[in-house]
Amino acid sequence: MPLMAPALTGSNDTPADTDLVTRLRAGERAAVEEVYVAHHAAIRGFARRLVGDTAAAEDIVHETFVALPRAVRRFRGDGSLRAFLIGVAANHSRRHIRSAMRRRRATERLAAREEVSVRTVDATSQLINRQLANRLWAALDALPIEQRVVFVLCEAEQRTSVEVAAIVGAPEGTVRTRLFHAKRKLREMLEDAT
Amino acid sequence: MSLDDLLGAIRSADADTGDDSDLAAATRLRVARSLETRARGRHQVVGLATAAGILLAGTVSWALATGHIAAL
Repeated sequence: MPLMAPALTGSNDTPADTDLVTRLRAGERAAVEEVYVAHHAAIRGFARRLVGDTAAAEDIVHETFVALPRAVRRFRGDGSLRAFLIGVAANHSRRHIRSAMRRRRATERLAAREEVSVRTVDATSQLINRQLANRLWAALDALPIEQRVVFVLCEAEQRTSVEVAAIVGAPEGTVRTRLFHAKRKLREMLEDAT
Repeated sequence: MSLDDLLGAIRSADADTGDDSDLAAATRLRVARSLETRARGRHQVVGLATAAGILLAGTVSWALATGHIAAL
């Protein structure tokens, strides 16, 4: 079952997007390429902020555009294509979040071993930065994916709750509740970590 | 550590990786190949289904024409 069904409200589609959607529905592969050129940077940015891992983010971008010809059937055309794509990317992120978590844990274990053998000031500060980043991402890893997506979209990408509700296909109140719980949990976890 | 530190780490996740053009081009190629492979797979399924349909129709026609179905 998909995590969320991107159903968008509030028309902000350009005529070019409307034309692209029509061609995507007709199964034109060139249309996927055009959508990629127009929106890949936004999807990549969102995926990186969501998983915190370049390789996993690239896999999400790949899967989003491969799934697009089929997913576009759900697109009702009453919202932006970019927001719809972010919703598709969020749907495909679950597996990649898990793999990014595993990679982070492995890096953490490796860093713990390296700590003993670090000699230079540069290497030590790099290690501290990496460990700090890993701890911060580990806090995010502890959130349920629905809360994580809402937190990244609202706080890191600074989107309004109306926009996020349109992206995730949930009522605005649900988005605010998810954000509230996400922030509360994160504050608790980060306080415990210090 | 605070929530602001976490937000800083998340926001910089996209900035840390530098030039993305090679990565973007590689993923674009990967997407194109995946779509091509899928399309080829779909064509194969359609081809096999058509062949199976023709074989079935031929067999039924032959059985009707030679009285094998009536004998059953």
